[in-house]
Amino acid sequence: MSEIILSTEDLSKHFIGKSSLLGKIRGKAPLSIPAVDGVTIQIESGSTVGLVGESGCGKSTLGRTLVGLYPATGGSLTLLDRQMGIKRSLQERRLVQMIFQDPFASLNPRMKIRDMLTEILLFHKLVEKERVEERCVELMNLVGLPVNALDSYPRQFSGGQRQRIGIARALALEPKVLIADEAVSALDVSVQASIVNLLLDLKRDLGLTMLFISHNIAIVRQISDRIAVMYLGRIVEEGPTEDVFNNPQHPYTKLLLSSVPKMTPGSKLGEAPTGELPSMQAKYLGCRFMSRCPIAIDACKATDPQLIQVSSAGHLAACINL
Amino acid sequence: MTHPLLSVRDLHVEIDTPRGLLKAIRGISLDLNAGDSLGIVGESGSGKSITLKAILGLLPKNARVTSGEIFLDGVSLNSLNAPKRAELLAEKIGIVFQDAIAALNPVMTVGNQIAEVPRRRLGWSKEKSHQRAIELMELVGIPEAEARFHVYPHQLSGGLRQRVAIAIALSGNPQLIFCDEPTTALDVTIQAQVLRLLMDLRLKEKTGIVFVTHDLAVVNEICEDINVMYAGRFVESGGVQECFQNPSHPYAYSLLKSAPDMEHQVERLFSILGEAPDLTKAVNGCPFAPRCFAVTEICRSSEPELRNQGGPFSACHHSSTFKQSLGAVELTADGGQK
Repeated sequence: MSEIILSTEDLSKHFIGKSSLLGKIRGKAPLSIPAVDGVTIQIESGSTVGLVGESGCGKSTLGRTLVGLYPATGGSLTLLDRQMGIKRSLQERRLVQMIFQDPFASLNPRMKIRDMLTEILLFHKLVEKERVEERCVELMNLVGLPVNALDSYPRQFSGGQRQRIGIARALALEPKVLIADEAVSALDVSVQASIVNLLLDLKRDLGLTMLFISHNIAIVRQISDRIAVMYLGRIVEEGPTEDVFNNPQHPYTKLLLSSVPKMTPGSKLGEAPTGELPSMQAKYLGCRFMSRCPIAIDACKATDPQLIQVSSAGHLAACINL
Repeated sequence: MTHPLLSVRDLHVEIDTPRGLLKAIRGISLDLNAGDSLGIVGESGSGKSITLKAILGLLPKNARVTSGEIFLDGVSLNSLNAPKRAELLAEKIGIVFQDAIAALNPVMTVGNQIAEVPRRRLGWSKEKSHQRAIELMELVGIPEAEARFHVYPHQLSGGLRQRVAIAIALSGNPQLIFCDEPTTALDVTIQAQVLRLLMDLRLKEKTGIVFVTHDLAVVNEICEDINVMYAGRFVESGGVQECFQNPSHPYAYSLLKSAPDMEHQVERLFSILGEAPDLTKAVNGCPFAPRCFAVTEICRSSEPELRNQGGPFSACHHSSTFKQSLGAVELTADGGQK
C-alpha cells in the first residue's frame, strides 16, 4: 500500500509570454507567470489525494503537468521509479490519464463511443483486434453504462453519462494514476453523487490511484484519503483528510474551510479570507499568503515558509507561525 | 396593511421550444414579506430562474405567463399597463444575476451604472446620485470606492463585479432583492464574502431576499425559508431548519442526502436514479414517481398538491410514511443511470 507511485520534487511550470519587438530591443524579459512554483508531493499507490484551492491557484496546471499536457519548466517528476522527461514514451503516457471537467468538450462529437475506445485500444496495442469488442463491453460495464451505448454519439447522452464515458476512455488505457480535474463540477447534485460513488467503486475494485482536483471542498472530503491545499502555485498544507479537516494548521486552510457553507441546520457562516487571490506575476520573497493573513508578522515578509511536519504524522504545513 | 409584499397565486409559464410547448412552471404560489429570506432550490431545468423572470416580466420572447396572478404591495400586476407595471417592479425589486459581466454594461463606468438609477428614476441631481453611488459602493464593501467609481467592469475581479451588481440592485432602495445564483461562478472564499454582505444588508436595510440556487448548503447558511422545486412546482416548502432536519418530500430528502457535507464524511453518497421528466410531455401522476424510492400505485395516477401535512408543506401522497421505504432502498440507491 505504501509504495509511492507518483512523486514530484520542486516541480514548477512557468508560462512565458511573448515579448514584443520593442521589448526585445530594450532587452526586457518576457512576462513569466509561475502557475506552479515548487511543488513537492508524493502520491501513494491506491490512495486518493484531493487538491483544493481558489481558481487561479495553479491546481489545474499542476494536474496537466503531471499528465504531461504541459512540459514542466523546473524540478522533477517521478512515476514508478522512472524520471519523466519532457517527452514521454507511449508507455509512459498511458500510465497517467485524465478526466476533464466538461465531458462534452472533451469527447469527439463525430465519433461513436465504440470507435473512440477502439482507436485508443489499438493505438496503444492493449488488446488483440479480436478482443476489442469484448474489452469495450467490459469498460461499459465498469462505468455502469448499457452496452448499446457503444453505438451512440456523445450528444445522445446526459451530462452524467458523458462523464462516465470520459471515465471509460481514461480507464481503457489501464492507467496507474487517474487525474480528475473538476470531474463533477459541471453536474447536478444528484448526478454528482452517482459519479463520486462510481469513482469510489473503481478505486476499491481496481486499486486506482487518483488525484482529485476540485474547488468543491465538500466533495473532496468525501472522496480523498489525503488532501493538499494549494495557494498561488504552492502547496501550503498537506495531510490525511480527517486531520486537515478537523485540525487545520495553516491560516489559509483554516479560513478556506470556514468559508464553506455547511449543511448542519442552524449553522452560521464562518470567517472567510479578506480580499482576493493576488497576482501570480508578483515576486514573493516571503510568504505568499501574507497579504490576506490574519496572523502575519514582520518575519513573514522575508522568510519563505517550507512545508514542515505539524501535529500528527504526515501532516505538513508551510507557515512560520506554527 | 396586512397584505404581503409579494404574493404569487397559481402561476403557470409555458415556453415554445423546437420540441414543442414546454410547461416550465405548473402552478406555483408564494407569499413574501419585507425582511423575509426565501431560498428556492432545485436541479437544472426545474424552473427556478424562470420563476424569478416571470415575476419580473423578464421572460424571453418564446415564453409567456399563461395564468396566475402576481400582487406586489397589494396591487395586481395584471391590472396595470406595461409601463406602470415596470415602474412598480423597478421600485420594489432589485435583481442580481449569476453572471455579473453579462449583466453590467461594458462601456459605462461602474459608478455611472450605479448612479443611473437614482438619477433617472428618482430624478436626483448628478452630484447627489454620484454621492449615493459612492455610499452604495462602500456599503457593499468595494475598497477605494471614490477611485473605483471611474473604472469599467472588465477592470474588476469577479467578486468586485458581483458587488457592483448588488450595489445596482440596491440603488433604487428596493424592498426585495432577487438573487439568481449570484455566487455560483465565484470561489468559495469570495462566495462567503458576498453571502455575508447579503446577510448584513438584510439585517441593516430590512431588505427581503429571494435566493435561487442549486446549493443546499448556501440556503442553509443564509435563508430562513426554503421552497424545493421539481418539474415546475414546489414540492416542499417550509422553514430551512425544519426541512433540513425532517424533510417531508422524498425528492427533498434525496437531494439533502446526495449533497456532500464538508463536516461529515459518509461511506457512500445517496444518488437519485434517472432524470427529471420532459416537461414538453404531459405529466401523469407525481412527476417524481419514476425516480422515487417510495412510489406506489396512487403516485402514478394522481399528482399530489402542496399542502400542510404536519411538518413542512409537502406535495407527496406519503409525506409522513415515505421514510419507511428507505430500508430496502439504501442498498440499491447508488446504481448507475440507465
